[in-house]
Amino acid sequence: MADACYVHVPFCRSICYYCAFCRWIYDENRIDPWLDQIQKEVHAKSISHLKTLYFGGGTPNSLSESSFIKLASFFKPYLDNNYEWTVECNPEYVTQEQAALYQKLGVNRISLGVQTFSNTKLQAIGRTHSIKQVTDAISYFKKAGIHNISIDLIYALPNQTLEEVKEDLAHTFALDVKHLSIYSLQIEENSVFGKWHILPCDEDLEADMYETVVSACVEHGFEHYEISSFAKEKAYSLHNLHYWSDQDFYGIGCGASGKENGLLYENTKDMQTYLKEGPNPVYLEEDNAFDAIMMALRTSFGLNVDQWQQKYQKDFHTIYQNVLRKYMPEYLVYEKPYLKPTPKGMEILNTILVDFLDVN
Amino acid sequence: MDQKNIRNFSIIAHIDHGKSTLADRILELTDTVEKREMKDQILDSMDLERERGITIKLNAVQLIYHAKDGQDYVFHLIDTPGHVDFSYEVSRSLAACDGAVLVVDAAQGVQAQTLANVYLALENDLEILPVLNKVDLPSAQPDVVKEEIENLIGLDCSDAVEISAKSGLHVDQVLEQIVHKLPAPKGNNDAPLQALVFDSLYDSYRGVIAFISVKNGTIKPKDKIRFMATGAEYEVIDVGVRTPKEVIKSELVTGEVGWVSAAIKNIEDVRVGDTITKVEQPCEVALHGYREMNPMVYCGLYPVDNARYDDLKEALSKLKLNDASLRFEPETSQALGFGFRCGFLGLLHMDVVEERLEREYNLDLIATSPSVIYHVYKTDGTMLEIDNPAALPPTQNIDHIEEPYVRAEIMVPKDYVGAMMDLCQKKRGEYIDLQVIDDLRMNMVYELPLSEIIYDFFDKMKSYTKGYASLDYHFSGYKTSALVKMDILLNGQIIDALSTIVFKDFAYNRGNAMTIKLKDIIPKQQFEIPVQAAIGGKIIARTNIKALRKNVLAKCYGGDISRKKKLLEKQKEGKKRMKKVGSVEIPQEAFMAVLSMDDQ
Repeated sequence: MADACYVHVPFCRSICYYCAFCRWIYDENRIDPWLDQIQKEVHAKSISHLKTLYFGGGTPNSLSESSFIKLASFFKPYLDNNYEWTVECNPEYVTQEQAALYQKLGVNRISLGVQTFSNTKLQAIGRTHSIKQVTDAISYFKKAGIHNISIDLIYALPNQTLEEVKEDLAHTFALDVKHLSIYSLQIEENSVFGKWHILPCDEDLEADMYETVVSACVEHGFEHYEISSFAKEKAYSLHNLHYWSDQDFYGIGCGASGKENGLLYENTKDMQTYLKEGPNPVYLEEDNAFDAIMMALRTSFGLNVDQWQQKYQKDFHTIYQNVLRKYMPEYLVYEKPYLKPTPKGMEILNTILVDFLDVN
Repeated sequence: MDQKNIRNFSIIAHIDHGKSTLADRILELTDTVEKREMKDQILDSMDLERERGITIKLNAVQLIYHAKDGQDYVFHLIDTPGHVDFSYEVSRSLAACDGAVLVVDAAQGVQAQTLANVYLALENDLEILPVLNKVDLPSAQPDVVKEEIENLIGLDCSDAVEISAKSGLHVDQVLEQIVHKLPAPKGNNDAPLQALVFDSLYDSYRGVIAFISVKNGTIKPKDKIRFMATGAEYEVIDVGVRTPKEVIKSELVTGEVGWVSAAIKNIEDVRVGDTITKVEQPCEVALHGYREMNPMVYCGLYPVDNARYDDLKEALSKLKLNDASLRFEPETSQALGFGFRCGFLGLLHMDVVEERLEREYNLDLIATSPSVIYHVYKTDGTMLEIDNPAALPPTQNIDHIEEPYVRAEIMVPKDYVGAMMDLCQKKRGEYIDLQVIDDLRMNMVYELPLSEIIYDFFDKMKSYTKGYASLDYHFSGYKTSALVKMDILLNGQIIDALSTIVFKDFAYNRGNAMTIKLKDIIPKQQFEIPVQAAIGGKIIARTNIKALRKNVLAKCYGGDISRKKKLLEKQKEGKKRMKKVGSVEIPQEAFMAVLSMDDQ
C-alpha cells in the first residue's frame, strides 16, 4: 500500500520555455470540473494514510484560495502524524495571505521555482517573476511559519557563463533555505526551447558548472544527497526519496504518474479526456529490478543490495560482476549492504547505467 | 505460342530517364498487372530499390500483347539497372534479349549512360528501338534530341515514338513497334536444349532458382539437366515464368524466358552465364557466357558481433547467387576480428550489398573504407596486388606502386566545362580530349585515378555542375603514382582497419580531415583519446577526443522512470553498434569516415 501521493496541478498562467510537463493555460471554467474529477479519483483509490503529499505542476499556487482549500480538503484526512506536505510555488503568485493560508491548512514544505537570479535570463526562459518577488515569497512563508523551503535553480541556460552560475549560487546561499534542487537545462522535444531547436550548452562548460554547483553547495554546508538535490540539516525531500528507493506512490490528476503494487501507470495528459472520462491510466511494463538500481544510484545513500536481492530474488553480485569490476572503486563503492556512487560516479551515472542495462 | 510471336527485349536508359515508369505502363497496357495491384516501380521488388528510386536487380516478366494485327504476342520484358555500377547486370539481361527499347529523356537528351548502354546493346547484336520520353515537359525538345541520337549514336529516329511514360501518352505505339521492329528469337525448338542462365536466387524452400533464356530446344519437369560449366546434374521439378507473379508452366520452349527449379541445394552449382542442357541429349557447345566482371573496389566487411561470422559467410554466399560480380574471401583484422574482404563493381554496389546484408539477413556490419587494387612492386622485383591498405609491405621493401586509372567521359553543359576541368585537375586527372556534342554540350575525356572516382568525384561533379553532368568510365590501365599508406592511431594504437592509401601530396589534408571527422564521430569516453594520422611513424595530424565528464539525467522522479529509461535504452542500442578496439569504443560509421569528410 502506497503511503506517498503526487497530485499534478496542470494549470499555468504562462508557459516556461524549458517545460515539457503536462500543462494547460489556466482556465477558470475548468477548475471546478477538474476538482470534481480529483475528488472522484481520490475516493476510488482507497488510500489508508499518507506520509508524504506533493502538489506539483503546472503551478499549484496559481489556484485561487477557495480552489486550493477544496483541493487540500480531499487529502487532509489521510495525512499521518508526521507527514511532509510540499507545494510547488511560483514566486509571483505568493502573497502574505497565501502563505498564511497554506500554513493554516497544514502545508509544511514549499518548493519555490526560482530558476535563476538574473532578470534577463528569467525573461529569456519565459519566467514572469522578479528577484524581489523571490525574496518576498520566502519571507512570507517564513513569517507564516513554514521554514522547510526548497529552491529550484536551472543552470546551463542559453548563453549562460560559469560566472553567472556562481552569481546565482551566491544569491541562493544568501537566502538561508534548507533545500536546493539544481538542474542542468534539458532541451526537451516538447518544450518551447525544443521547438525552437535551442542548442544545448557545451558539454565541458556544463560539466564545469555542475562541478562548481556541487563544490559550492558542499562548502556552504549542504549535503549533496542526490544528483541534483542538496539539503542542510538533513532536510531531505522525503517525498522524492520515495521515488529513489523503489516504493509505491499514488499519482493523481491529469498528467500524473504513479506506482501501485509495483506497477507504474501514467494518467492521460489530455485535459478534455480527463474531465470527461477520468484519469484513464495506462499501465507500463517495466523492469522494476533495473528501475530500482537506476533510481537508487542517483542518491548518495545508494542501493540496499540485500533488500534488492530479497525483493527480486536475484544474485546482484553475480549478475553485475562485470559492471562492478569496471566501475569499482573509482565510480562505485560497496559499503555493505549499500552500493553507492562516488561523486565521480554520479557525474557519469548514465554511462554506468547503460552497462547495468546491457547485462539484462 | 508460335516462336515468331515472341519478343524478348530490355529497356535501356540513363538513370532517371523513365525506364521503370515505362515498364509500369507496359504492364498496365497489357493487363499483366491489374490496376488495383499496380504500384510504382512494380518491377523493383526490393524495398531498397523503391526507396532509392533505382533499379538494382534485373527482373524478367512475361506478358501477352494483343496487337493491332489481331494476333497475340508474348513479350519478355527484362528490366535493367541504370547506374554505372550495375552495367554488368545490363549486359547479362541484354544477352537474354533480341532487342532493346532505348529511352531518352526529351529534355535532357543523350547522357553518358545512354551511350554506354547502347554500346552494350550493340555488342550483343540487339536491334535498338529509340523512344523519346517526357515529351510533355515544358523543357522537352524532342526534335533536338532526335538529331542528337542520330548524330551521336547513328540510330534512325524518323519513326521514334514521342511518349510520356508518366501519363501513358503514345505508349501503345511503342508496343506496336516492338512487334514490328524487333526480331523474334532465332533458335530451333527441336534442337538439343541450350538455355542461358542469366540470374538466380535462393529460395529457402525450393533451393536455387535459375532464371534462363531458352535459346534452343525445350525444358520441362522431370528433364535431367546438366549445368555445362560446373557439370552439376539435377532433375527439373518445375518450370515457369513471372508475370510478375510466379506462374508454373508445363514447359519452356525456344525463345521463352523463365525460371527453372530443380531442388538445387548447392549454391556453387549454379553460375550466372552458364548453359543448361539435357543429360541425355546434350548440345555440343555452351552458349557464349558473359565476360567475367572484375570488382574494382574492395572493402572489409565484419560482423559487429564476432559470433555472427558464419551468418555473414552464409549471407554473402546467398547474395553472390544473383550477384555474380560480388567477390569475398576471409580476412582478419587486429581491430575488427574475423570478416571478409569483399570486391564490388563500385561504391553504389558496395552500399547496396551492405544494406541488403543488414536488412535481408539482419546483420550488424562494419565496413571499412573502400580501396582499389594497387600493384605494389617490391625491391626484390616481385609484384603484389594489394586491395587492403593494411597489407601493404614496409616502405623500405617497396620500389614503386601503381594504381588503376579509368578513362572517364563526362558530358557537361558548356558553361560548366571550366569548373569540371578544375575538378578533374584537382583529382589528378589527365586531359585526353574535349569534344563538341552540340551547341550546348561538350564531352570531356580524362584519365583519372579510380581511387579518386570512388572517393567523392561523383558527388563533387554533381555539385560543381548543379547536377547537369553525366559520367561514364571504364578501366584503362595501371600507372605509377606517389602513394603512401596513412595510418590512424587511436589512443596511441594503430587501428589497421582505418589505414588508407593516399596520394602523397594529399596526405596532409586528408590526415587532418580524417582526424577531425573521427573526433566528431567517436563519442567521448571516460578518458581523453588522442587521434593521430601518421605516415610511416611520422605524425602528420593530431587532435583529441576530450574525456567524457558528465553524462547524467538532471531530473528523475517517479513520473520520469519510463521515459528516462528509454533514453538509456537508446544509448545501449547505440553502444551495440560500436566495436571495442583496445580500450576505445568505435562506432561503425567511423570506419567509413574517409568517405564523408571534407578535405578541401
